[in-house]
Parts: sequence; C-alpha cells; structure tokens
Amino acid sequence: MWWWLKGRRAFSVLAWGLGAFAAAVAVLGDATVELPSILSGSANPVLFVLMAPIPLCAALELSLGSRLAEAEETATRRVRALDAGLVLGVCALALAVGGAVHLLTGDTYAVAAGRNVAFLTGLLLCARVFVGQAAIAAPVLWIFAVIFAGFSRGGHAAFWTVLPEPNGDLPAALAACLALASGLLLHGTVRPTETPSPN
Amino acid sequence: MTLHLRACTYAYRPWARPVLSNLDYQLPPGVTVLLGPNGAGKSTLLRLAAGVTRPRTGNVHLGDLPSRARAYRGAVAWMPQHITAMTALTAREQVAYTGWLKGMNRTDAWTASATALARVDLADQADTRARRLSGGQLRRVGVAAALVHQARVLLLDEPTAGMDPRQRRIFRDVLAALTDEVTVLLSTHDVADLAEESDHVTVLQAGRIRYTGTTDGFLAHAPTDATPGRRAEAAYTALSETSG
Repeated sequence: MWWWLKGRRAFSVLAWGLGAFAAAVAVLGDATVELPSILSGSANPVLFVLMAPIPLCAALELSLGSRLAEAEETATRRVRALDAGLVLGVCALALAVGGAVHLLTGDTYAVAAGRNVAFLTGLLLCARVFVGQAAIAAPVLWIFAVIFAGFSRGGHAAFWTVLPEPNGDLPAALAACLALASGLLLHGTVRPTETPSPN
Repeated sequence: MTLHLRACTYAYRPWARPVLSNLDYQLPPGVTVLLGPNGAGKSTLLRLAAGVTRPRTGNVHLGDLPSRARAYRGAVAWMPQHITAMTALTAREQVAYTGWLKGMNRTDAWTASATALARVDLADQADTRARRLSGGQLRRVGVAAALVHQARVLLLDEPTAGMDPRQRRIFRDVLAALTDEVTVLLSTHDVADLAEESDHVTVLQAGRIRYTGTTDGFLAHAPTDATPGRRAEAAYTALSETSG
C-alpha cells in the first residue's frame, strides 16, 4: 500500500494540489469578476473561486496517471478499488477544506468549491476512459463553458452549470454525487482502449 | 499446469482484421522462444496469455484456471515490451511494488526485490529512481519484476531488446538458473542469441503458428551448409520463406 501511495505521488503532487486548492478557496473567497457571456451578450459577475478546483483536478489526473499499467492490469490486488478510495478521500478532504474555510471566513461558496471538486473529478474520470490523460481538459472546458455560456441576462446560472450554485444547494450536490459516482464506476469497470503493438 | 490458448481470435477493434485467428497453442514446459516478423502477433499472444487482454473468441487457461481468475494472475508473470518507469519510485521499490501487486506482503516483496535485482545484476542501482535508469537497465528492472513473485509461468516480451552483450549474457544466465517448475515464453528478434539455448521454438506468422516444436526440430530446417552458430537464423529464414 505504501508503494502504491508513493507511486501515485500522494505525498507530493496530490498534497501540492490540495494545498493549492485550500489556498485558492481561502484567498479568493466570494470575490467576483465581470466577464462577458456568449448567450446573453452582457457581462456577468463570475466567482473567481470557480477556478479553484483546477489545480486539484490536475493533480488527481497526474496521480492516477502515475501507474505501472501493465503490472496493475495483471495484479491480484484490487488497484482500481484503491484508486476509487484515493479519489473519494481527496474529494472528502476538499469538502473538509471548504467547510473549514467557510467556518473561518463565512464565505458563501467555500463548501461549494469542495462540492465542485467532486463534480469536476467525476467529469475527469468519465473523460479519461475515452481520452486518457487529455481528460484534464474536461473540467477546464466545463468551467469555461459555465463562465462564457452558463449565464443568462441578469446573471442567472443555467440549470446545467452546477458550479455557481452556493453552499447547500441540493440539486448541485446531487449532480456532484452523480458525476462522481459515474466517474468512479467507469474508472472501475472500463479498460482503457488498447493500441496495437508493432510486434 | 499447462498454459493453453484455445481457438483464440483477437482484433484490436471489432471491425479490424484479427491479429490472431482461431489460434490453438499449448505452451510446452521449459523455455520456449517465440519468433516472428513485426506484426506477426507475438505481443498480442503474450498479452492474451498474461490475461491483460481477453480474446474476442476462445479462451485462455492455466490448467483449470481461466485467465480472468485471480489465481491465474498470481501464477503468471508478464514483462511487457515497454517498461514504465514509476516517477516517484526507486528501482527496488518498483520491483517490490510489482511483487506486492501480485499478492506478496510488504516484507516479502521488499526482500524478494533485492534478490531479483541481484539476479539481473542491478543491485548497485537499487536505490536509483526508476526514471533515471537507462533503457537497458529499465528492461532489467522489468525482468526483475517478472521474477520477483516466483511465478510458475514467465511471459517476456523482447526481454533483451536494448541490452548490451554483457547484459544479454546475464539474462541468459538468469534463464538457465530457472528451475524446471517454471515455464517461460519469450519473444525476441535475437534469433541467434536465444533460440539455440531454448527447449522449444514457436514461429508465428500473420497470426498463425508456422512452427512449434523442439529446438532441434526447428534447427533441422536450416540448410545443411548453414554456418555453425547461425543455424537458428538460417532455420528461421528457411521457415519464413517456405510460408512466403
């Protein structure tokens, strides 16, 4: 288990990603920036903290990609279950970090940032089944889609955006759980696409 | 226990031409060298035998164990053509991790990793980060990882590719030191280097078995005027041209 954790760079890359996420949530708070929306043609206030999950998602992708694929595919130990545990642990820590920041600062979106980590990680896991390590683009593209196409005139977020919803929003929480569960299911069951060997 | 591929067909995509077609193959005891040109299906056969790839039709068994069984994966070791270097692990940790993945406990895996690295003459690099090793050294890490958990069947995909002559000699010594209880199937393009030291030879061409039998039977295909020391190459060439 130690070598698995070390191999997944849990103590370096993941720790760094979690630290960057915590710092971003604490520093960015509820600050917003006016950005144009493609749909409404007007500028809308967008939360900086929507970006906070990116370093953690990138760290998770790097961590899950640091593997001995050949040995793990023929292992007698359940490595994918361990990976699922790692992902759940990171999401739980992200929520805990968000909760702690919320308690300390009262920021409205701190816990939501933790929830967004779970949602975007679900997207990441779904995408990496099909596109491998390029899957890191999925959460980034989602965030940009939300920022530039997710708000109507008046600044109301569309139902599909999930990310801008505040702490305690039940539909957003359910969407995050669903995305994460789908991602873990695909990660645990679907084998990566095989490429032919020249020999 | 014998490793047996029964009526195996495999294609990388459902619509693609099969790499292996209705292949029946029983791995004989001892060391078998798998020969064939690029694209013959050698690596695919090894992947099927390792259980990392499932055949579209047919099945793979070790004795009564199907390839999807956990006990099968514990009994079979596979060294792939491309050896991944784990960024965060040393050479010894990478070998020990492979042993742990195969079900060994941490202490046994750690002890066995030192022994396995010593067998491939890499003990002095045990604490070097795997990513800092040369291509030849990394292949030796791959061989050590295949040896670490005392598997009954070793599947080695081009184990000597990128090794210098001294490393190849060490590898041949490792093969020679394996007990009779271990069955080995290794693919190679080094016909002269390995074929004459094996017990059996299998030649694969275009996804079909062109020849399988004893090494003496294989060498008998060489022309009578073949240069001593190059008989294996001559036999392989003769077999390839006959099918051509």
